[in-house]
Amino acid sequence: MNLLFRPSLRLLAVCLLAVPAARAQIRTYTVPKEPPPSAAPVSPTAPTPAPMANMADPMSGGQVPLPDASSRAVRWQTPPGWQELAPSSFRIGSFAIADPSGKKAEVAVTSFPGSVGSELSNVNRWRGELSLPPVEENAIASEPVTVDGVEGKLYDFSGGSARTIVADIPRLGISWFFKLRGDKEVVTSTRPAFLEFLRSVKFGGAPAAPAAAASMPAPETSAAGDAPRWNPPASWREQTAGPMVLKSYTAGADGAATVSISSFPGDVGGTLANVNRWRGQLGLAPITQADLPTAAKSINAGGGQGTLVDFTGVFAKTGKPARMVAAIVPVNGQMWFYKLVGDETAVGGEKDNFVKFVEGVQYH
Amino acid sequence: MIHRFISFISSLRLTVVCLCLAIALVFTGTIAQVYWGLYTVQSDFFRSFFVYWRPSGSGLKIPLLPGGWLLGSVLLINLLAAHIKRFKWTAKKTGIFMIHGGLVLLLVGQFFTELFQRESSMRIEVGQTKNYSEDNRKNELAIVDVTDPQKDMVVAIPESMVAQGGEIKAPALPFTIQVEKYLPNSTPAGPMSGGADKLKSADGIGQRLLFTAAARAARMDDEDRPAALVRLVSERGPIGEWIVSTWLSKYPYPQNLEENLGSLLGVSLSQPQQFTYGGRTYQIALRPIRYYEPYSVSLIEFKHEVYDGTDIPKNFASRVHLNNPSTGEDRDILIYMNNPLRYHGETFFQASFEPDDKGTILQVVKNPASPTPYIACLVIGFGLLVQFLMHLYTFATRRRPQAPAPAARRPLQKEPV
Repeated sequence: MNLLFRPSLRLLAVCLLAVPAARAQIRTYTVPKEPPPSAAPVSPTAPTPAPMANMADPMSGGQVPLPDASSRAVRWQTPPGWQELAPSSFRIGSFAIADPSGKKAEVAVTSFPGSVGSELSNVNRWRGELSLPPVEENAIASEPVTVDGVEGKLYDFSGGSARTIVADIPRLGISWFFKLRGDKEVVTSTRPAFLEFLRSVKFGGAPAAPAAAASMPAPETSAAGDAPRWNPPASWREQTAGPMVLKSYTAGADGAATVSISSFPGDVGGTLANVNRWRGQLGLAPITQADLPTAAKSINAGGGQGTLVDFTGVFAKTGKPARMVAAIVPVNGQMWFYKLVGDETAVGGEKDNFVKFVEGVQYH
Repeated sequence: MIHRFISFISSLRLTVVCLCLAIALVFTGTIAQVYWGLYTVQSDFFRSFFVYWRPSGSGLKIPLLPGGWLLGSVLLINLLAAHIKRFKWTAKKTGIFMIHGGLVLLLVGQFFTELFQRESSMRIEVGQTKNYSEDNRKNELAIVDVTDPQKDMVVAIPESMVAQGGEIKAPALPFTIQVEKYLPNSTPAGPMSGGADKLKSADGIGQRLLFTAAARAARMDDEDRPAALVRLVSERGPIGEWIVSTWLSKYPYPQNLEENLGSLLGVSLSQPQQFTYGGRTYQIALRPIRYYEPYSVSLIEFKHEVYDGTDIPKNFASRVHLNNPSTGEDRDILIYMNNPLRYHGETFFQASFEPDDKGTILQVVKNPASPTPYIACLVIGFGLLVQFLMHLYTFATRRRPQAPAPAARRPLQKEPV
């Protein structure tokens, strides 16, 4: 009996040990190069794709053509009476709605990676646009909405004579926002058409051709799409921009200060939240709305009013004393952020240049 | 001692205990699917030796239940041991032997299915030729030397090794890979998105597109999209660091991100991340595991028919061209719903298609042990039939000698007193 047992148990032990062994091994192999997709057969010796380092950065210049309906990542049926406006680099879709009495509303379709902040911060941002007080998380009211099979949330806020209805649809790591905002009467009468519009939305579509943007010539001082034009001082040196930063420059002696420019739709939490975010970067305590008028000053920028702040503290990134001069400029429902940060002396020396630069930006 | 062990391992009590634990495992696993999803539960409950409880923050792994592999193995050993111990060939037990043989075949077949089955997808655009499919759920960190204009040298490291973190050495590479951080599931993030622990790299796409941890996918129609921050280091010092993720490699995620964010990010997400070291050019990606075949499949045409006036699909069909230089096969095949292509031990099902019908997605299933459940069920069924017929025969033959008994109760004949 033992003669039968021993080989059987050995075989089983070998089999059981083989399970993990078969699952984690480094494989090394050689394969012919994969031809790129093509309607016609392609030679297997087709050149390899250009390395990323050689690719032109669409943010560094060039007029990126506006996407046409066939290449958009999302499609819809525009309800009658809605005037479709040209999309921007941030707005995938934009519509104007007006009633005979001249009251107006607009619909904006935007998308961003991730959750774009928490639900609470988004809701309070939308509420803030209507001058409504912020709410706690457990007081958030929403109703379910489905867009092209993707479940999301629909929010509805009314404040004063305005009303906002927003659909937040998280899909494949991207947050889609469909926002109807304007005079209360127009938004109320447009709500059924807006819901119908949401039902008509189809995600997908043909992939965009990145090479088209990469091959564009690069003018010196313009950003993508309908972004503004600016003229940086000759002493500033452009550097690789970080995530979500449109442009970045080094300034001051030995590049001891950095200028960065970014932009986001909406009010991005409002002026106070962003001022406190910057204060936090310098290890400073947050201020209240009442402190804002003394902590910030107004500047003329973009044909309207911007906010300029100047703080000194310890830069959290480096642990060294630093100074920050930053400006927020709201233009056409979009916030433009300009930040000069770095060594105290360098920032002090560049402040005038920076303010002149911000005031000189030409928005479309 | 050995006799006690043999008695234990071959005991019916062990069989009953294992079956009870299997019931408990199936029950808890079914409930757990609601919270953790099918694939996590399959992996943690049924494709494991133990089901562990991991108290959050403690780093402990406390075994709660035996897993599917342990129970299956013990049941198999128990069944074999019982037979070996009590084995005595008699014709009367033919049916029992067949039933147990079928059960053994079922367990062994499942074991080999676990080892060798793979499910993958082949995505082909019209006019494109592919000689590999991509695993539906398993990923690999691929470092590809693309210097040679004719061929690529691929070093593929399983995701499970990346998940362990630390240093990975591959003999074919002149540098080592240091996994700085690994996220089992991730989501792209901007600087204003939530999440404190964002992945950001000094090189490649990770300079501009950040990633943050996400809850593990629990729905059937969802999947984990892992991300990792890897640093490559040579004897001469660091080469660079990159974020790798299936967000950047697995269709349709990079295409989707690029469509929506391309101009915002200012980098192309559909191009591989590339670097040069020692005069050679490499690409780095965390991508679905690729299974290369000795034959190639080209998509000639894809048809997506709908019922008139509706979007309801009537038929999907892919006309493909199969070319196998080793056998000289060179033919066209039509794959459509319920009409898969079975070739070279693999089955190609029409699974899905790309937007605008510009390509097809074929599910490729390979399972060398796939016939075993059918054979096992036939053997068990036949064994049950044999056992039943033998009992029937015995029953019938036992009744025959008793037949005269009623005669004893025959009415008494009148006899002379």
